[in-house]
Amino acid sequence: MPLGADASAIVIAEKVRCGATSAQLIVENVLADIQLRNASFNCFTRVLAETARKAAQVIDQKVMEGVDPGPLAGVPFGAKDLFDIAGIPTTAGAKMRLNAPAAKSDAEVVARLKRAGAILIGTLNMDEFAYGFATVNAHFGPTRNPHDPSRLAGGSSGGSAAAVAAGLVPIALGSDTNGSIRVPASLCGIWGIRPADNVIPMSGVFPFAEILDTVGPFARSLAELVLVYDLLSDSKRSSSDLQPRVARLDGWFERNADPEALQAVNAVMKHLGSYAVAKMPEAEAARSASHLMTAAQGGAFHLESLRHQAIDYDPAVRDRLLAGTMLPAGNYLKAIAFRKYYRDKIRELFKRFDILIAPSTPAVAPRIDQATMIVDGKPVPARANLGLYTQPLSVAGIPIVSAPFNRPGRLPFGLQFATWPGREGMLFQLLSQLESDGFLGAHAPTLCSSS
Amino acid sequence: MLMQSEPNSFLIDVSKLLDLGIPEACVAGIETSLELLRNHARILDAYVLQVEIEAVNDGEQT
Repeated sequence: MPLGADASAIVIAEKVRCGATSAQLIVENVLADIQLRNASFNCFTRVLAETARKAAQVIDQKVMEGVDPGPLAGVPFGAKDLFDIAGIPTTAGAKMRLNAPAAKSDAEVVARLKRAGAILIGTLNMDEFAYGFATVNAHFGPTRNPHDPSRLAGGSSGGSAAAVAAGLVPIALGSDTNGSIRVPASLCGIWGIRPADNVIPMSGVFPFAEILDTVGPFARSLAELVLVYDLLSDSKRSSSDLQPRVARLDGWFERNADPEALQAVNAVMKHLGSYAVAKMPEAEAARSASHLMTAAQGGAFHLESLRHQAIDYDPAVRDRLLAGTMLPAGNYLKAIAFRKYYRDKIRELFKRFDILIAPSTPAVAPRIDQATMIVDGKPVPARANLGLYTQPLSVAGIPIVSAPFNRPGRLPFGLQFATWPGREGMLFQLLSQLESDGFLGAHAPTLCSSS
Repeated sequence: MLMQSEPNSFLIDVSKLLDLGIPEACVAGIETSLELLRNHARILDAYVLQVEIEAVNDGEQT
């Protein structure tokens, strides 16, 4: 069987680097696979076949000449459609931006992956302007979950997560403002990381709410995730021999959770021999603060555009942005002040613990045709509420991995593992142990029943 | 962000959006989103108030 994107990035790079296969062959296999299967999931919005072929030629030439082609030589990747890519418009998932001026250069993270030898295959679907947890795009259609195409992939980086989960590319880039990496990683059953603030560069990224915006990778294994994270990160992480102090988050992070998600957290805690519980009584207020900061910043950023092109927006996104423009300044400033107070509280919490665990999403992916979920006994739109457990942690500005709980053959969900900035090495070591011990791990979709 | 004259009541004069040139049809559906923001503003207000009361009580005890 030819080596394609369902192979790991590590295997692809090893084989390309030693000449056992060619980057050109990999790219042709991936393009053929996307041609065949993308329509089932609607992950890619644009496939950049010719530029990918040219990049593959350059990699193969380097291998032939004995020049180091980079640690990701020949590895195909996709980028959420809010990263600048030289020569094409950055749509941010908006039809109105299809004819925007082309980007003059690549976003820094795209450039870093290319310099490492990775090959950009195309742009990936998202909620318009990243405002949603569903990847139901009024213009480009919904992205479907590879584990059950009748269900949401999650969002707003749903195209990225679904493309990796479906095996169309081994790695992809997304952004996480309120949970837009962790929610789709959870629902699609793969790994994703929201980095600590200011660790992965944001230049060339279309903004949503800059105070909370971050970018990061998706992958099907921890080793691939860490490899890409290290290439994107500005900071060198240190390893640690210390045994991490692990606690589960209770209260807000258990309310509304499916019993299976809570059992997963408890199973991991029991395996680690920890019964510690971390209290975060500010979580609900933190979620509200994140809603208010996002609405205010998003609304302010789009106000001029809304004045002239309101009719061209996805109606669901337009409503939320317009509401944000009307938010009283006092409410916004209160949210900003809360953020500082909350971060001080989180710092205190991490004096007692190294790693905090909570579900990434309350349950498995909702159906696309019934995109609601139950919160406090009431049905609410999934699009706005799937980030129930991710939003409070976003405000903290800390690194958080969403890891797939190991449950082959069933609809996936993920667990969040949060740590304090600088302790990423310790976090990755713990996750590696849990992956080896069979508690965490991604699985190829087997098209679970939607009933 | 527009400054509102009644920050606590959060009563929105949607005509401000019309004055800015946003079509009426685009403004008609924002009430649900506004109510969502009002709810979050109330939750944050309630928490901040509780923390302030606790701080005052702590101060009295010490």
